[in-house]
Formats: sequence, structure tokens, C-alpha cells
Amino acid sequence: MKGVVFNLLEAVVRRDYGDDTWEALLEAANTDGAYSSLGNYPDEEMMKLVGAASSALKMPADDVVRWFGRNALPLLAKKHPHFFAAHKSTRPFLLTLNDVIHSEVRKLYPGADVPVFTYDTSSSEVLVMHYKSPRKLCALAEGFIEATAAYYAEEVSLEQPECMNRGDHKCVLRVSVKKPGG
Amino acid sequence: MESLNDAEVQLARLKKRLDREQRARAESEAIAEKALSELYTKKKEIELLQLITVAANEASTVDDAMRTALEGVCAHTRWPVGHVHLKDSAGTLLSTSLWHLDNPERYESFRKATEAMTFAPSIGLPGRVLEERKPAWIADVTKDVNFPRSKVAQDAGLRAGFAFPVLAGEEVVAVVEFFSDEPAEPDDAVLTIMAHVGSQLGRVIERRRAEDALKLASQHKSQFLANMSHELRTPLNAIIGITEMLQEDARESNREDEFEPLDRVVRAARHLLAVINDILDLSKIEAGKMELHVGSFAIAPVVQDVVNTIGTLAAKNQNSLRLECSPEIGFMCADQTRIRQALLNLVSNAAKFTENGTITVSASRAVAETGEWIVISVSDTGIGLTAEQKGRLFQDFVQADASTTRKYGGTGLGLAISRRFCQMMGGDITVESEPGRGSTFTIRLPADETPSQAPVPPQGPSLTTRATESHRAPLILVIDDDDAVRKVTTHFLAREGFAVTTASGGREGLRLARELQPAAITLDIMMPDLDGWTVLAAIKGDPATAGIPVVLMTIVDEKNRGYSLGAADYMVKPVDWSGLAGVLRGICKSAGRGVLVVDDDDTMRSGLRRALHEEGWQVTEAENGRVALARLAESRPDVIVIDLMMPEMDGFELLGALRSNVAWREIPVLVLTAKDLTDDDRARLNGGIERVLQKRGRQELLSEVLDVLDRCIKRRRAESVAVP
Repeated sequence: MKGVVFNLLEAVVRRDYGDDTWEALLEAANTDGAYSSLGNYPDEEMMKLVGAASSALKMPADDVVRWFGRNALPLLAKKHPHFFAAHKSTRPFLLTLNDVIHSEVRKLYPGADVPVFTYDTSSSEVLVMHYKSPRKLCALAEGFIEATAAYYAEEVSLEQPECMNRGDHKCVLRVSVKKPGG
Repeated sequence: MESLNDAEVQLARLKKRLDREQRARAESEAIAEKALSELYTKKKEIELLQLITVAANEASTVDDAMRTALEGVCAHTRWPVGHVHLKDSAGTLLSTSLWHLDNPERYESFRKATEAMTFAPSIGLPGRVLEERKPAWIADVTKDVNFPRSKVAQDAGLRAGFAFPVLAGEEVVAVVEFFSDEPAEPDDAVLTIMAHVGSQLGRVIERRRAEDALKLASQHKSQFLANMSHELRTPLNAIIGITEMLQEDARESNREDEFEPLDRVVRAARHLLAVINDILDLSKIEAGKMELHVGSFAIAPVVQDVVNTIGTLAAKNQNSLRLECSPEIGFMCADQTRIRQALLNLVSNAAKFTENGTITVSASRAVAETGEWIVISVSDTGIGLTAEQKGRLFQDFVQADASTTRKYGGTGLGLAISRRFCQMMGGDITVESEPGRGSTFTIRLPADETPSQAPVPPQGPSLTTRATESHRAPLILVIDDDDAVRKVTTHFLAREGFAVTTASGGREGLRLARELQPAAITLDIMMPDLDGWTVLAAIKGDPATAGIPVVLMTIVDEKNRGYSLGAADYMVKPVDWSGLAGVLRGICKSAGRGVLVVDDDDTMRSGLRRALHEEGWQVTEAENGRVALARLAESRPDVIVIDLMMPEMDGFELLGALRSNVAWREIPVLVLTAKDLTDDDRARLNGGIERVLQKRGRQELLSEVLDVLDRCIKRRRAESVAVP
């Protein structure tokens, strides 16, 4: 996993829970903690940090990941505003993930192993996204999607009729977005 | 105490964090440096590929492209040795002389050992690549079991090696190998890039093969055209010849109504012949079979002659024709016939495309850094050319536009052919033009090897007896490559009372014909340097020799072709000697009896020509005084017949010119006129002429002319015999 993800986790943990908490998580996860945004680090290190946070914050691991996604996204939007400014709402933004966002990620971080989503756009109400990754980080995707809706000041409801964490062979995210009051 | 403790803990944490940050930074830098270095390598690879691609597209030969690849790859890998093997038709790799060697002395023995070897598929490094059709790498050739040169490589200090195939399509056509002076593990990046290099080089070979095939096809096409044209010309010449005979008959029996249609047949056939000749010329040039007959000649008479020839055509469109050419322009060394052809083409084009205008032909000598040039330009005040028409002008088979063809006729080949000829002689034809204002075409040719004065004729062969030395023994020039034939012919002809000189080939024959002006020539057809047909055409094409009768002596029985090319007679070998002597005696009866007929009346001229011909005279014609002077410059007649009233330069002026020239002053002149001479006229003629004859009844006049001429000649002969 790219160092930049660890940097994001460090930033949100420090901001919301203080420097000491991050130090404690590093100690608890027994990791080195020196992450370069350009470097590659084992996925297990991220899993250990998430596990340590889950214990320390008394929160299920999925919720930790979702929280991380929700809080990391505004940082990304601040750093790369043009990807967001190009759209006015959540749905068209989500549809650019494969072709625009992740292809840019690959340019900035050679070797980045980003997921490829498949979409079902047959319904104009519900965008169905299929996610398949050995990392099983569908919760991170949920966090990102929730924060994206917040960025566009929209209300979102998410359902996961299928999930790899529940033994399915892929995750299916049903994303319903509406304008507040609409 | 506790706050101190807290502070220490805090400090320890910060130190730890700083340490983490430093390590993360060091790691970032290492990653960035590695990325930069990879980027540099990629850039170098792209540069190498670009170098090879450019070489592949632009190199004029396969060798050049290969050499560039060897240099480029060795510079890229910093390996000291590179070499190319080419596959032969049997499928084995042969060593070539294409090497890159950083230190030729050090690798001398390795080079020699390699060049002495061939590699069958799967043998050694090149063989492996040939077999597998993909790059191969040997980490250390001194330890490789399939490397026959390992011993000599070790001696030269060569260790790692790789090779890649040059692929034309699916076929390996060559293998390029490289060696390092230290062992090295396979580098996939290098092997990948070398596969690209190999396919680029393959494209060069593919392209070259395609070009060769195209060239060959074009040559075949040209050869076919040449053959076809020949097949067409032979019957066409028969048509022309026979129709002319019919015309003659019609004329003799006064069947006037037949003249016009017969004349049309001849004109149409001649036009067709001209078209076919153009195509033949062009296809010969295309096939690389056109030969030039380069010799030294005086420029002014050639230019003058072309201008004279075009005179009538120019007058038809009410054009005035001006010539600016000083006799001091001197000589040049080139193919006279082809220059004449090119100039004739330019001047006749100018005459065709100009009405009520002026056509100026000017010739001059220009000195440039590149040597001396002869510049002949033809300017007209005609319709001119647009820039677009100019662009298409010299293309084969293209006239300025299609409507031009309909309006002005012609094959559209003349200009392209003329330009090719000039280019073959190291020069060119260029054009400047403005639509509606006129065009200037300029022939530029190197004056090359031009002697500053007229060339001194070399001493003739020992057998020569100059014609001028004896009027009683006419000189026969025998052109034959067979030594025995020359000896026998000389023997028989000498016994029959002829003076004989010989030439062993066409070129020498042409030179001697020009220099010695023999009474007649016997000519063999099958000769190695120039064949007899070409020699005959050259003799008849050169005004200096056109009047010399030629008897063909050959085993090739193509009488019609011979006659159509202007041969006087045709003897099939083995030659009947007394028959040959008879033929030559017949021809030489007229030897030394040359008459120049100057008259603007076409009918009068042709009547005189036929009558004089029958009596054995050699007749040259001129339609006015100016043309007569040009003919006189070419060869000196024994007698001149002059009409007084002519355009351009009349008989009085011509007589004045004759008297002022030492060389011509003594030539007897017979004045022939329809004019009643006034006293003033008689005063202007002032004696100096043989006789004045009034034009009247034709037969009467002709016989009178013949009488006078015969008397003239007899008197001359007597004089020249009397004077030692």
C-alpha cells in the first residue's frame, strides 16, 4: 500500500485524537512508522494500525476505516481541488473514479494498486458500484463516498447487499444520492 | 518533578518523531533518485531508438543503417564490440565487414576469427538468435558451452555478449551481436530495446527489397517498351519509304491528284515515328541503356542549324526568330546529336506557343566556380506558364495541361527527354516564365574538356591515303571490328584502285568519318562498342558526315532497316568483292561532286535535287542565303547554284559573303533567276559567276544546269591535276 495512505491516516489521527494517540498506535501495531508518500508498504501494516485503533478507540475495525475515509477525503479534495471542481454532484464524480482519478493516482504514485470499480447505471436513482479487492476495504470506499456527498452538499444513503467481508465474492455498493429537501 | 518527567517523555517522543520523519525523507529521496535514474535510462533508450529510426528511414544504404545501429548501441551500452552477420540464401549467417571496435588492435584476433566463421541455425550466439528469432544474452561467453569463439574471446578479454535479430517480416535477415569486457547478467530493458532496434533495421531491408523489385519491374517495362517501339518502327519505316516512292512515281507521271493524300500519309507516318522515337528514347533512358556519344564540336553551327530548321515553323505563326551566338563561342565536348535534339525541342516549342512574337535563341559561355559552362537560352513572348504548369513541365508524359495537347499536339515527352539528356551530360534545363508574358528555357551544360581551339585531328592510321592527295583514288573508310575482314577488304579495294583507311570500332569510325570525309564508308553491324545501326544513325545525324554514302556489310540481313536509316547499299557477308567494288565505283562516280542548291522555291529545289542526284551529284540544299552560309560552314561544295530573289538573305548578299571569304571565293557559282536582270543587277553580280540562267521550262533548265555544272567540274579537275 502506498505511503500516502499512511500519511493520511497519521494526519487525521493526530488532528482528531492527538499526537500521543498516533505514537501509541505505532507502538501497539509494532511498526516502524517512517512512511514516505512515494514508498510502498505492506498492507498488513495498515491492517495492524487499524486493529490497534479499533482497540484503542473501542470501535469496530470497519467503522475505523469508514471514519478514516470520511476524514481523509476532505484532505484529498483540498490537495487536488480540480478533480472535484469539474463536477457538481456525487454521481458524475463517482463515475470518473476509474478513468480519471485512479489513472491520475497511478501517474503520481507509480505502482499504486488502486481498485477498479464496475458500475451499473441502469437506475437513475441508485448508482450500483461493484468493488473487488483482496484488501476488502469497502468500508474505506463507503467513507470516501459519504464525504464526497458532503462535499457536494448532498444526502447519501448506502447499502451493501453483498460484501466480501460477509463471504460474498465481491462487494456491491448501492449509492442513492439526493439534494437536501429534494 | 512530575512535570519534568512529562517534559522528558514529551522530548523523547519528539525525538522519535523527528527520527521517523528523517528516515521517511531519506526514503523519499532514494525513491526520487531511482525514478530519475530510470527516467534517464528511458530517455537514452528513446534517443537510441530515435537514432535508429531516423537512420532506418534516411540511410541511403542498408550498410549505412547497420553502421549507425552499431555505433548507437555501443554508445548506449558502453560495450566495446559490435558486429553484423548477414544471412545468405542457404540460411547460414555470414560475417560482414560491419564492425564497431573501440580498440581495433586489441580485438583484431577476435575480428579475424569471427570473419573466418559462418553460423548455422542454433550454433553459437548468432546461430541461436537466428534459430529462435529473438534476442539472446550470454552472461559470460568464456563459460558458455555453445560459444565456439570462447577461446579467442577470452584472449581478447571479452565476457558478456548479447545479440538480436534483424527481422524483415517474420524472416531473420541479419543478426547483430555485441560484447562487453566484463561479465554481465541479462538486462531485460536492453533486450527489449534491442528487439525494437532489430525490427527498425528490418524495415530498411524490407524497403530496399521493395525498391529493388520496383526498379527491376520498371526496367522490364522500359525494356518491353524499347522492344515494342522497335517492332513498330520497322514497318513504319517501310510505310514511309514506300509512300515516298509512290509520291515520286506520281510526280513523274504528273498524277497531281495523288500528291496530297500521299503527302498526308507520309506526314502522319512521320509524326507517328517521332512519337515512337520519343517513347523509345525515354524508355532507354529509364532502363539505363541510353548511351551518349560525346565528342568535341563547334557550337555556333549547331545552334545556327537548329534556328534555320525552325525558321518555317516560326514564320507560320508570324514570329520573328533572333539568334545571338558569336562564332567565338568556340567548341564544347558533349553529345552533339542530343544537344541538337534538346535545342530543337525548345525552339520548336517556343514557335508553337508564340504568335506574332519574338523568339530569341542566345548561346554564351559562362565561367563559374564549377568550371566553364555553355548556356543556351530560348526566350519567347508567347503564352507563358503558371507556377503550377511549370511544376509539371518536366514530368514524363505530361504537358502543361490536357487542353494544351489538344490545341498544340505533341507527345509531351520532348521536354522530359531533353532534360534527361542534359542531366546525363552533367547539366540541366531550367525555365522561367510569366503567364501571358512568355517563357525562357535555359540549357546549361559543362563545356568540359573543351580544347581552346579546334581539335587537332590525330594522325590517321598508316594505311590511310588522304582523299585530297589523289582525286583518282577515292578514299573508302572500312569500319569493322574483325581484323581479318579489315585486311581482306583493304586488299581487294586497294587492288580495285581505291584508297582505304580502317577503323576497328564504331567510335573510331565516327571520328575518322568526320576528320577524313571519305568518299564512302563500309560498315559492319555487329560490333562490340557501338553497333552499326547506331554508327549509321550517327553518320546520318551529323551534318558533317550525313552526305557520305554508307554501304552496310554484315551477316545480319535487314536490308529494309538499313535503307530506312539511310544506307546507300547493303552487302550480306560473305561479300562478293567485285560486287562491292562496283557498288563503290558507282557511289564514287559522284565523289567530289558536291553541289549546294540555294533557292527559296521548294519545288525548284527538289526538282534540281532529283535531276542532279541521278547524275551522281551530292546535293545540299538551302532555302536562303543565311542557311546557305551554315551549310557552307559544314562542308564545302564544288559548285553552288543560287537563286537571286530570296527572303532573309538574297542571292546578291550571299554572293557578297562568298567573295569576302577566302575559303569560298573560288567556288564556281551558277546563278538561277526568274528575274529579268537590270544593268544595275549585272553590275552587282560583277562577273564572278559561272553563268546566269533564266528560270523557264523545267526540263530544259535542268539539263542546262547539268551541262554547266559538268563543265565546271571538268575544268576544276583539269586544274587540280595540272597544279602539282
